[in-house]
Amino acid sequence: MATNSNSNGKANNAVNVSQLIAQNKNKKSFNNYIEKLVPTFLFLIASITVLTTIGILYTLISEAVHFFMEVPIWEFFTGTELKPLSQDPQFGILPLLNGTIFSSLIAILVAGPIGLMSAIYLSEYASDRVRRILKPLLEILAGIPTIVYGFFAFTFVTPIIRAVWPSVDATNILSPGLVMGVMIIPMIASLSEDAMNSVPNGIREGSLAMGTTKLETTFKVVIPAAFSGIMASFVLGISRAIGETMIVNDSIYRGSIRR
Amino acid sequence: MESMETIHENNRMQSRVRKNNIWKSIFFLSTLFGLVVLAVLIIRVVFQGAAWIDMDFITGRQSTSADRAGIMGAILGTLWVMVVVIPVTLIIGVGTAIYLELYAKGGKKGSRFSSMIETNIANLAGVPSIVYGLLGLTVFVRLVDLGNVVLAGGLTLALLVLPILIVSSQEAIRAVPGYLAEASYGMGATKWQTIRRIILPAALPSILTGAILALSRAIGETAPLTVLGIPALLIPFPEGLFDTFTAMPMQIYYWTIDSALVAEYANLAAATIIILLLILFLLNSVAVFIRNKFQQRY
Repeated sequence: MATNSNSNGKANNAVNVSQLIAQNKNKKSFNNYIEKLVPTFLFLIASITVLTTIGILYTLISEAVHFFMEVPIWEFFTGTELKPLSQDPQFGILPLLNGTIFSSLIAILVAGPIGLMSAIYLSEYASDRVRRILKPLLEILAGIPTIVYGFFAFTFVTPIIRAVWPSVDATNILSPGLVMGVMIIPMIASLSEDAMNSVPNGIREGSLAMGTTKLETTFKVVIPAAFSGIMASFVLGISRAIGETMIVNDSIYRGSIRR
Repeated sequence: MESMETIHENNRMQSRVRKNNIWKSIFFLSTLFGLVVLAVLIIRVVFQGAAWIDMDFITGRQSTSADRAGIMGAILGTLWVMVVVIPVTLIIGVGTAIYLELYAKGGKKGSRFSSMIETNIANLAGVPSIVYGLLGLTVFVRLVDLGNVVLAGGLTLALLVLPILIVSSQEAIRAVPGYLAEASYGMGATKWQTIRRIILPAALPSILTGAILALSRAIGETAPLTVLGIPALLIPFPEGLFDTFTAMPMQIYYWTIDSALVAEYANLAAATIIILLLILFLLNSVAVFIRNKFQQRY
């Protein structure tokens, strides 16, 4: 500071650029302070996402350790009954695993073909105008809260299934599976469409120029080229279905009350 | 002979074209399938619930009697949760996006850190919502000892939707052309001044759109709240961050599962769904409006 003001006094006629810069830097010491502070502050904010992950891991691991102190691991993984509230509690995971696998399987059986075919239509056949109308409409499906799907599953789908097929239980796995399938259609459709869109047009045109129909081009050229992307969309769809709670929860819970 | 072959070829071509057309309609129909289900769902809910919506239903208190039940408590609860979710997600989400896009990119160490955080965010986006409920229960309800109040629910939901906002804010910041920032640096502005006065205002419409979409996800989320143990019946209206609350999805959930006991509850659930979908529709319209009106193309 002292040397700065000294040199200022000496050369006040000639404009010294480096001096001006130095002067400026001193003047903006508050700004400088902020400049240094902001990255640190933002770094701390960005770390919150890491803390979230750590929190999730801590939660799951600590609770699981507690749980396994009470219940032997072997019994948990091989037990075929889940009765946590009964006199002689049983903690078999297999019924849950079974239900999850079945409902996810049904969901992907619904959403896989329909989502893929929607993607084919949107990416290969639809005109620009039609696509611009259909895509946002399809995305509404993805935005509907899962609880609404749950409500739909047993006030509408379950009664229909039971009307057609009276032996089906109220707690069936079919109806949440079907509704879950509808829920993940938009996800599979839009991800598969992205994968197909990223297939270069040259390949497509080359195939069409050989005299193939659009259908043949789609199945023999576009889909093989986009295969990894399509599979990825299926995997993401399945993982969404596996993690879904409310749809299954609703219909099963309601069924158990009724009984 | 040759003409025979041409006819044969023509037939083959025709059948291939026909096959193409048939499949085209199959593809079109399967695209419509999702939309038909959407239409059935909405029509069904409206028919079941619309008759139950009146002023008393919207402003009324919760009640075990289906005729007198109202959802004001649930609406207020959802609003209070929004009061927590909006600032928390905006500050953390936009802050993280700024850090990742504008500060962490420089230097080898920084970019490794930012790619680590980005992987982490992508993973968080794939974590099922019920796991966030467990996180909220352990950390906010028990560890911090908040109890199942507005603040705990809001923070849990904020963490849940954070990845959505971070990713969309990152895209918004990336879409701001580099010459704007460089012009600002050229005028002698510091980095933070450039970010605050140039980059953020330019990216704001896209960030807001992402924020509204994240918010509408948070409003419709039920699973984490069930884990937190949010009650649905007969609690006073929430008046602050430390009051117990219920939210609209929870109300729908309880009315739906209780409809096995009282049949009218299913209609109440449908009516609540209509209100919830209307709110979501409004929010999304605002997002589309902001995107179309304020987003500048550079």
